Amino acid sequence: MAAVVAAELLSGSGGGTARAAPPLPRQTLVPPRVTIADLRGRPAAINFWASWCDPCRKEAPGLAALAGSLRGHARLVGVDWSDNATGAQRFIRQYRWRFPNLRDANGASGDAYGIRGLPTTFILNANGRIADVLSGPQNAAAIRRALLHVG
Amino acid sequence: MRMSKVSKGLAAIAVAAVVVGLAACGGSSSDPAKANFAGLQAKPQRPAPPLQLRDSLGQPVNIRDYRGKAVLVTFIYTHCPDVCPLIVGHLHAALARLGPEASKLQIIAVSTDPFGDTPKTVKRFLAAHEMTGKMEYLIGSEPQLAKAWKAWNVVVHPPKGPNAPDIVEHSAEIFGIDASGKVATLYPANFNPGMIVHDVPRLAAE
Repeated sequence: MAAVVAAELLSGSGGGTARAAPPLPRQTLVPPRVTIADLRGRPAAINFWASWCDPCRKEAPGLAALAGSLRGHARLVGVDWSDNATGAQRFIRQYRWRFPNLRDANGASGDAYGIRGLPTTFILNANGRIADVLSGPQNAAAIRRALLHVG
Repeated sequence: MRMSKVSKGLAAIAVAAVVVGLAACGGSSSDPAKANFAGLQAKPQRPAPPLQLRDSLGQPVNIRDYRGKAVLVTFIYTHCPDVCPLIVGHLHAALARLGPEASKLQIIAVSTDPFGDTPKTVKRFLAAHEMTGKMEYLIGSEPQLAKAWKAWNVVVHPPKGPNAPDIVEHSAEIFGIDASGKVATLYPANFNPGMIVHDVPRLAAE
């Protein structure tokens, strides 16, 4: 079953016909507001999370470390999905996230990306297309590896 | 540890898919107007089973009191690591998109964990999901909840006691009840909020 879900996640995004990344939400939790157009030119990781998601808490310190180590070679953007705004702000403070974070209050972006669980990290190539999907909590090295692979 | 929890959650999705799949069997619809749900059509449409429990504030709740509205019934537990939070996340998203039409919808969650779901844990869960006041969360003793699980044909393997392992396996389909009180449509655990947004006006109009 896990393999089936992973395959479903990848089916619309992988291979040579990677689909264009859908638009990001407009509401901003940690500025600046980022659009897909802004991300073009470098690889990027878009991480969907929520404050009620325990595996997201497990992943959160690694994302903070990753953001501090990218040094302009790639971008990291968080998207808080269908969450309590106060809880989301507290989460961001708790894990000292400084990288851009957007709020998908009505879950529309998550739907467009096709998330099936949290956390999910979409790896975008420099053309703004989804080149890889990392399902479940990742460490910084795994995301960095995926970014290098598409870069 | 986490993988085990996740795989059990995915197993719950599998159970849901099977249950919904069976419910959807029965051939093509002879009534196009009623087949117009984004969820899978329940065939035959039967009156919703009884559901009468207390919510986390101690108030009695009876599903019959919501006649005239669309009602979604889901079976979850608060410390569920994977499927339940996503179900509620999707319900939250659906409510946000429904806007004023959300007043036509009542969401009822029924606990699958008589030990872990207490007024305190439910209050925290609803607040974390920004669902306080937007969803009834029914709790009770194991015999009280087991009666509801049986009536709704929901498979639950509850914990053996307060100190038992914290995973509760349960089927995770969501029932869509129309305004006349019939189970009209069913959603898998990984439903899209857009399905609810599409179906609520139709369920409320039945």
